This record gives sequence, structure tokens and C-alpha cells, in this order.
Amino acid sequence: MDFLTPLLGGMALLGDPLVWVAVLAGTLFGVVAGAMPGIGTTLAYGLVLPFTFVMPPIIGVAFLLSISVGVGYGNSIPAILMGIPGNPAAILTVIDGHKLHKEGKSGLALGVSFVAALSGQLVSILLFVLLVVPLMAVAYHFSFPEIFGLYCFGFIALISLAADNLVKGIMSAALGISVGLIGLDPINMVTRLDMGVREIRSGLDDVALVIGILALSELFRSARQVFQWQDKSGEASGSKFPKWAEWKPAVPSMVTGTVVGTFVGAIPGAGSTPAAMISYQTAQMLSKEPEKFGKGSIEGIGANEAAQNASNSGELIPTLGLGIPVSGSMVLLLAALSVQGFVPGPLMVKNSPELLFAAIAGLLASTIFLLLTGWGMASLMLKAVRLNRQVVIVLAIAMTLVGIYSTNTKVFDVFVAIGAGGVGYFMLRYGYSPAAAALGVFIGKEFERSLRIGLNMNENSFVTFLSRPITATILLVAFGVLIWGVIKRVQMNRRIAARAAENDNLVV
Amino acid sequence: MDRRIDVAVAACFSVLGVLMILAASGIKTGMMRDPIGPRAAFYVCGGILALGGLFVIIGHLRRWSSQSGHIVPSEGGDDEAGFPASALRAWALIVAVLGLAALWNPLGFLIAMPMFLVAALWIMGGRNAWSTIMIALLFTGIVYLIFAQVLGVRIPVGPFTPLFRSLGWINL
Repeated sequence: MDFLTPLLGGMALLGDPLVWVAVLAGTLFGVVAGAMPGIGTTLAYGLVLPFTFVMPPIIGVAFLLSISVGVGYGNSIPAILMGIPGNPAAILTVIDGHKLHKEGKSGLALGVSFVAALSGQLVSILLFVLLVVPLMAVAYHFSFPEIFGLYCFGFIALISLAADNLVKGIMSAALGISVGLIGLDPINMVTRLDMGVREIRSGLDDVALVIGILALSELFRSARQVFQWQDKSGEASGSKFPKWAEWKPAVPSMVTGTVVGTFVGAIPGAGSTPAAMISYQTAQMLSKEPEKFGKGSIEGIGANEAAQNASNSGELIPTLGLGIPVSGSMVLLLAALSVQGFVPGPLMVKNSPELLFAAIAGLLASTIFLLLTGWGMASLMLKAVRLNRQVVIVLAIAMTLVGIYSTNTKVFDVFVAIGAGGVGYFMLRYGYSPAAAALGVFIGKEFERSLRIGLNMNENSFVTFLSRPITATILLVAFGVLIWGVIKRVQMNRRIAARAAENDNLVV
Repeated sequence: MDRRIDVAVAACFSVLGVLMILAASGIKTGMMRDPIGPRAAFYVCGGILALGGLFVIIGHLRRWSSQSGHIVPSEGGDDEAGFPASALRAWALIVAVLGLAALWNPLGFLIAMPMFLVAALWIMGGRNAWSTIMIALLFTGIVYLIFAQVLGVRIPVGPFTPLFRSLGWINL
């Protein structure tokens, strides 16, 4: 199959009105689901999966992938406007986007998110088409040691989230990692730190933990005060799409995010969260103003949103090409195809290329649809800040709890989320980083799993494990990025100190 | 930020770290051995929490006499300036949320959720009984319809179970 065949096949499917009906329904559902705290792509897929069983496979694939695109865009809206990430990948959007919203720059934050999400998605489709064949060959060689190397990048991102107090940031990450590791040991399957509680023998639910640490904690903190949003961010209601000059600085980071998102998304075991983290980190390294990251940087939003959406295309490469699902949502996509009679594996697309065409059609059509209507949706959501703040906080808590319950229909998960929210509330109040803890929950588990299983696969030898060519290359690059990051951080601190000294001199 | 509470929070982290190390020492090693083992990650994380907490405490104690009072600039998320903040309100809301979770199964979603919403809105200063009740009922009804009836999520309805079952709305 040459490079153009999948693209032409996908475009040909856009002539089918049924594909458009499915895509419009999927995109709208995705945007609404993404905007609901606690509902990510996986849960959204899970909720509609039974409907796809009655659809023709091509329509089903296009429908599901349009949901991914919708969720990828939709989750930025509550992240920016309410500080609530729809899923873990939106954590970094919260950090910068919500900060801008609080400063009355909601339009700028939403505009950059809109451009980044759609351009990232569109360009990544082209990258996907151009790179699917060679990347399939690379992804096929990724095993646990290589995934371990990838998660080392994640730890570098954790360090960048450590906020002002590095010790507290590292402690936050350690707390998140250890909580995430509770449950079954990946090698021996013995239970760890379950305290004899039956419900946590196989671990605490990641979604409940992360949503609790990030979303509920912020909502609990917000409940400390009673006021109306108009009083603090009246400019938000009149926000317009930002001018080119305003979002132009974010363009390089969008390019970075698109490339990183597509490649990282293609790696089994990675997905949109590491893609977003790595691209954020890379964009910070390349930025002329790295000190703004985490404090309302449009470059941060651009990198993160582009990477999240680009990873949708990247995830499809091993999923459809090799039958290796790279995320929870891709597991569900393969499950839907299995029900339709397809056998996941390297030969699936070779035997049924229409699945690849349908994937491209779904991604392309939903991107076009959002291009035409997405800003209107975001502007509509801006009106949310005119609502009674107290009512929104209470309903957001209720909605979050319903979303958490819906994941596994277990009330225990709701308790876990509330507990995590209480701890997160203290962390927020006393300078510990809930974002580092939340990322630790996800990274720690896969980091340990890939390290230990990888060692087992390599005769328990660190030398054999680390000297695998791809692993060694990734680790060297990660080490280089870490050193670069430390140098950049020192430079940034010096710049801040110099500015403070200048200000002092001006005062004197 | 009150330095004493910051010290207390750091002490909690430190104690948690020590407890984690102690608990991890009791984890079974299993049949398959590997150079890392099932305990190592908890030892490392527990050590970071214990030592990190001590580091924060010692740092505060060393600076204790250098500044007057027990208040230091906050390292955490600040409250919105110009509006009074109440920790009691936040904790009352957390208790209400715990109540919702506790009553989720016994009373069912359709009773527990509106009760929670009325209580939570009252905690947040809502004093208009009519609008509070309407918000609670409308939200509960819409969410139930979407999740239970449209999306097929199994949401418990408590005492309504026999009625809903007889109407064919649920198949529990």
C-alpha cells in the first residue's frame, strides 16, 4: 500500500452521507462528553459501544474516532473555564488555561486551544498517512524496556510540575506514585498495601484517584468562598477569537505538539497523557519564555492541545496496523471490531483496508465539522461563567461523582475520589502539587511495570535491559532533556532574580 | 499561610512515609524473583515522603525565629482576593459529599442526589428554597434520564426499584 491510498480512500468515504451523520453525532457527543468532568474518551467509548454493534464497521469506526476528536477538543473547555480536566491529558491545559481565564483572558486561552486542537488533529492525519507504514515497523519493535524509557520522559515532566517548592513537588509525585501502585504486583500478582480491604486488592481506580486529586480538590477549595464570577472575570463574557498576533507565539509549540503527539501516540502503552507531557516539556525547553509555563502560557496550551489531538491519529497506527491497543479507548475500538468479526492483528488492515479508510474519514470529517462549529461551541460555553458560581460548583461536584460512578458503577470509587479530593484540598492549600501527584498515579504504575517485566524479559540483567538500542537511545535523549531542563531552570531562576533586583532598584 | 499548619501537614506526610515503609516490609515477595522486587517502589516513595517531610519541618524550624509571627507567604493556591474564605464551608461540603456517597445505594440516586444538592446549595449560601429545590429535582431527573435510560448506566434507585422494574424501566 502506498502513502496516498489511505488518504484517497478516506476522502472517498466522505461522499457517504451516513458517514457524515455518524461523524456529526459522534463529534457532538464527544464535545459534550469531553466537557463533562470525569468523562474521557474511554468512558465515552464505553457508553456508546453497544450502539456501534448495530452499525456497519466503517460507520462504527468513523463514529468512534469522531468521538475521540470531540473529546479532545471538548475537555479543554472545562479545563480552561473551570479548572477541571476532563481527563488526565488535560491536566496541563488546566494549569495554563485556567490561569489565563482567571486573568480575564478566556478568549485567548480558548482560541489557542481551538486552533491547536484542530491544526494538531488535521496535520497529524497527514502525518499518520505519510508515516503509517514506517512507524508501524518501529512500533512493532517496542517492548517493555522501550516503554520504560518513554516513561522516564514522564518523570522529567513531573519535575517540571514541581511548582515553586521542588521538595514538596517531589513528595507530591511520590505520594501519587505509591497510591497508584497499591494493588496487584505486576510480576507475582501478590497484593500490595491493600490493608485487608477487599475492594482495593486489585488497586484503586486511576480515574477516581486522578479526578479526585485534581477536580474535586479544586472544587472543594473553590467552595471556601462565595462570590459571582462576573465580579472577577467580567471580560470573559465578551471574549472574541484572538487576533493572529496574539496567538502567533504559540504556533511553534503547536507544531512541536503535533509531531510529538503523533509519534508518542503511536507507541504502545503511551497514549495522549505522555504525549501531552512530553510535548509540553519539549515546548518549554524550546521556548523563549520558559518561565511562563505553568503560569498562563499560551505556548503550553498550544503544545498540550495539539499533542492530545495528534495522539488520536498516532494511537491508530499500532491499533489498526498491528492489533496492539495503545490505550483504554483503543481497546474498546478493537473490541467493537472483534464483535463485528474482525481479527485484531498485523493482517487486519491488510485484509480489510476499508477500516483504515474509515478511520481517516472519521478523523477528517470531525475535524472539518469542529472547524466550522467549534468556536461557536466554545463561545457558548463561555456563557457558563455567567451562571451562578455556587450552583455551578455544586452541580460540577455532583456531575463529577456521577461520572466516576459510571466508569465502574462502584460506589467505592466515589469514596476513593472524595478521599483523594480531601487530600488534594490540603495539597492545594499548603503548596504541594496535585498535578504532580495525579501524573504520578499514572506514570508510576507503568514505569514500575515496564521496568520489572522488561528486566524479567532480559534475564534480570540491567546491562541487557539498558543496552537495547532503542531503550538506550530514548534514555540518552531523556537524560539530555533533563540536563537541558536543569540548565534552563537555572537560567530562568537567574532571570527572575535579576528582574526582582531591578524592581528593587526602581523602588529604591 | 499559617506556618504551624504547614509543619503539621509536612509531619503527616513524614509519618505516612514511615508507615508506608513499615507496611511495605510486610509485602510477600512471591515465587518469581526480580532485581527490583515488589517492595522497592514503596521503600523509595516512603523514604521520599519521610525525609521530604522532615526537610520541610526542619526548614521551617530554622526560619522560625527569623520572621515574626507564624504566618509566611503561601506556597499553595491562593483564595480569590477580596472575598472572605471559610474552611468550615469547604469541610461542610466534603461531609455532604460523603453523605451522598453513603446514601447512594441505600436511598438510591433519585432520593440521595436531590438531598445532597439541597444541602450543598444551602451550605454554599443558597437561601431561595423554591429555586434550590427546582435545581435539585431538574438536575437529578435529567442526569438520571441521560445516564440510566439513554446510556444504560446501572444507577441504583433504592425504594423505587420494584416500581421501576414493574414499569420495565430497569432490569436489575
